[in-house]
Amino acid sequence: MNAEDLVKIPRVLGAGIATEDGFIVESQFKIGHNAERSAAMAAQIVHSIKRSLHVEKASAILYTPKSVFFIKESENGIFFVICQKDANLGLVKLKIDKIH
Amino acid sequence: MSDELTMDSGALIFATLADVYLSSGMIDEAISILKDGLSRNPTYTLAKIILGRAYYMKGAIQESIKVLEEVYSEVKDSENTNLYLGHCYKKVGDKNKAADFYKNTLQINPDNKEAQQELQTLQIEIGTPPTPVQPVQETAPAVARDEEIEPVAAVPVAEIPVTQESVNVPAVAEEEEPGQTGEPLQPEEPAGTGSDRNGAAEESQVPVEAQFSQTAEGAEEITEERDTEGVDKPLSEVPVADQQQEYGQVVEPETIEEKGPPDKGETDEPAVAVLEPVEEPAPGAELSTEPVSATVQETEGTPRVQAIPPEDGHGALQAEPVPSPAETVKVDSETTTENEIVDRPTTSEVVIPFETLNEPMNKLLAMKNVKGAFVCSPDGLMIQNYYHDYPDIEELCAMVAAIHNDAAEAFRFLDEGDVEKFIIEKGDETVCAITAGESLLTVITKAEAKPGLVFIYARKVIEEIREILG
Repeated sequence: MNAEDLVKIPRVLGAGIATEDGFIVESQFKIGHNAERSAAMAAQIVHSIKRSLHVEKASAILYTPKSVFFIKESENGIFFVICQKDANLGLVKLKIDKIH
Repeated sequence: MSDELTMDSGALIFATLADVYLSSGMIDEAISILKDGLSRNPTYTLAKIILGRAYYMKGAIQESIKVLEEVYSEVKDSENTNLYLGHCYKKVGDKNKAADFYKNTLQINPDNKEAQQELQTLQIEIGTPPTPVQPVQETAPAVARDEEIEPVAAVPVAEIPVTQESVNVPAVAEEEEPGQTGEPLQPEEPAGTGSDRNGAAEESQVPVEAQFSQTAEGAEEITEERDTEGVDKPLSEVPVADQQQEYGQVVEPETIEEKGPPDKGETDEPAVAVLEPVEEPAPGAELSTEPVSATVQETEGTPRVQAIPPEDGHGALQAEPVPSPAETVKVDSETTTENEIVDRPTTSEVVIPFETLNEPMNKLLAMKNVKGAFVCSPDGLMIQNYYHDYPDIEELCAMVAAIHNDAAEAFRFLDEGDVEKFIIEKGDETVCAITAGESLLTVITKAEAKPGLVFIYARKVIEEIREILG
């Protein structure tokens, strides 16, 4: 599973992989979305979760008024997906769950 | 008052919570809650009064004046509002205005020793001759007086729950002869943590002492007056059971703990719901001022949220109205001066509706795979716990709130708005957190739980929580 596959899902705005320190490794974003900022944000949240809940690999879904963020820490880095609220979140999650 | 509570229980709860925060010295948190609540209930006078008090305790005197002046026209009869305004104006150097408010305080309650002393000090500074304090002139029966007062002012206007500092005062005061002025009691500086508490305590110290000093002298006069009016009986003539019935006291007589006069070593006792002796004095005997004043100092205050660990010992905050203290104050006040009744809440007037959270939460907890839940504030403080199996729920509260705040900050950076909810998968359990107004509802489920289903139920719970917590 890579970012390109995920962006094919309707209303998925973008996906990418970031390093632990928030630098972007790979991304596929639709126009108007800042991949680098999203990567930094994903890294910050992962850091916060790991620090607070003492988990080995953080995985989270965050809802905002505009969109939904999926964040999952994997062996390759921090995988993150941004989609609209009316996207098929279950399908996105299934795809993300396949990442290890 | 009860109508007001029914109409706007959310408003009540934020004001009450803020008052609890104030009593715990968490002034900034109280101000934050009050400001937020007032943005939703801008006409809620009580909250403004508490906000004014919070600002005063913080040392933000100008803000305190602004807030209190805003509502002053509605609560002119509030002794404590006048007193606080007097303190505020004194601190900003407007001695004339301060003197006016102290005079107003004394018009409402001529026995307010603190106002008397402040006024005397100010009059000396201003250069006007000190006005002798008028004795109590009761012109209206208690019932009529109660009816005159607006219900808003009757709630915890400036009743500041007990502080350690307040307990120390009677020991000094008891050396004075009743009615003797003694050294002027200066209000404490509101700045700084310790003095904040003192600032809160000052209000409960002197007026109460003053009223009991007055009682010792003038109890018989008041007794006779009331007897002729047929309105009330003095405390000494009313049996305990009758007193409790009359004032809606719910404590059984057997539960009343008899205690002797407090000695100075007792000042470290927690100031929670100690129902002091409601003794039946021998006919003609004078009321003892010592134990009663200590009782009032211990128990005086607004309805309070009491921290009670649940049965399993985890530190959940169970909000409970403390029934007896306010009643004790009221009973005592009746025997001294009716003015004091104005600002005292009764148990029947103030109900903390935290219990109403239980019903929707229990529905949520009944779901399969839901392990527990809790409600906390955005700053990580526990509001209500429904996850008693967790060993350190308060830590979890703080951690979830920290994640929420970090995420919110990140999303603000992305111009995505605030976080509405989030799901964190954590090994064998999932943490689902949803914002509920200013609070955060967190549900802990097993890993195999369906988060969509959890959120459907949680959304229903949230609506009810929003109404309660604002």
